[in-house]
Amino acid sequence: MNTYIAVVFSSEEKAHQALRKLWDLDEAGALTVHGAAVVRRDDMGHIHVADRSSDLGMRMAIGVGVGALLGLIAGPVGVAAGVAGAAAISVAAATGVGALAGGGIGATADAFKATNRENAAEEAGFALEHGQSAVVADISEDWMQVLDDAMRPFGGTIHRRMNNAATNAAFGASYYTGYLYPYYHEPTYG
Amino acid sequence: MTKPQTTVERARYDAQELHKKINANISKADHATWAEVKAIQADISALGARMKVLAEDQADAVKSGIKVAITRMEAAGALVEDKATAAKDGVKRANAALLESAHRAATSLSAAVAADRTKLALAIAPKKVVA
Repeated sequence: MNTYIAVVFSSEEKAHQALRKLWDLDEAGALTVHGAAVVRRDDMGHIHVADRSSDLGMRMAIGVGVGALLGLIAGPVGVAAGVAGAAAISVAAATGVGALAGGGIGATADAFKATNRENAAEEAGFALEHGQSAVVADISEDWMQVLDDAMRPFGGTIHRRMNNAATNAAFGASYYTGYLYPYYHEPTYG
Repeated sequence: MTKPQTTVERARYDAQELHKKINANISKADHATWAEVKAIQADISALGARMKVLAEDQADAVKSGIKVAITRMEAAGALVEDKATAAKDGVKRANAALLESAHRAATSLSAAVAADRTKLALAIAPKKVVA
């Protein structure tokens, strides 16, 4: 089962520990992580992506990827309620990246077809409040219980959206480009 | 970093390592060189050749992802130094193409790893008892 996830935490530290745990689960073969990143929403409402890359191109790609993924998980209702409330996403200190990634989230509402509204409402529990952090990832899991059990000690709240034909039909197959870190990296904010 | 246990996992690990290496080269900015690009291109080509073999054993959806990655890897691996272009610009473009191809390699192989794990999960899952 291919799934997009966002696991929301009350602190950055917990999110960082959870990212490590997620890749540990991959290493153990308990699930497969295709890409992951950590984001936090500051007190001003801005969303920051932890990224160690000094290359602007890669930071932009990751920013757009994270933006799209957050939009996918939140759906239009969630976007309105939470994520899009952020003025922008910024990747480290790269201004301009934020506008691109933020645009990605905004575009979600437009891309989402009306026939999927009920589904969106159901999945709109996802919101990243001021001061919260989240691990966002593109994973494959055969038993949801594995991730649920692993995240519980960190106090994370898991939000999932299936990566399937229905989601791709609703958002467009090329909506999420899949650009997240394809391996564990120490999350840092520039 | 993922500890590889199977052939596919080993290839994925190598793709992840290549991505890290290219990213490190990109971080050098103007100090990155064509010699480093060529070394990565050799690694990319070798990985691409292994992926061609691995792709044959995969289901169609996974196989198509791997093939797209191989195409990108071959294109990035074939880039040559353009003497007419400023060296740093050429290196930068080559590294960007290599990074993108390594990313595609890692994610397509990740899909192959996931497929293998799902097969294993299905094999060991408790079977329903038929009355």
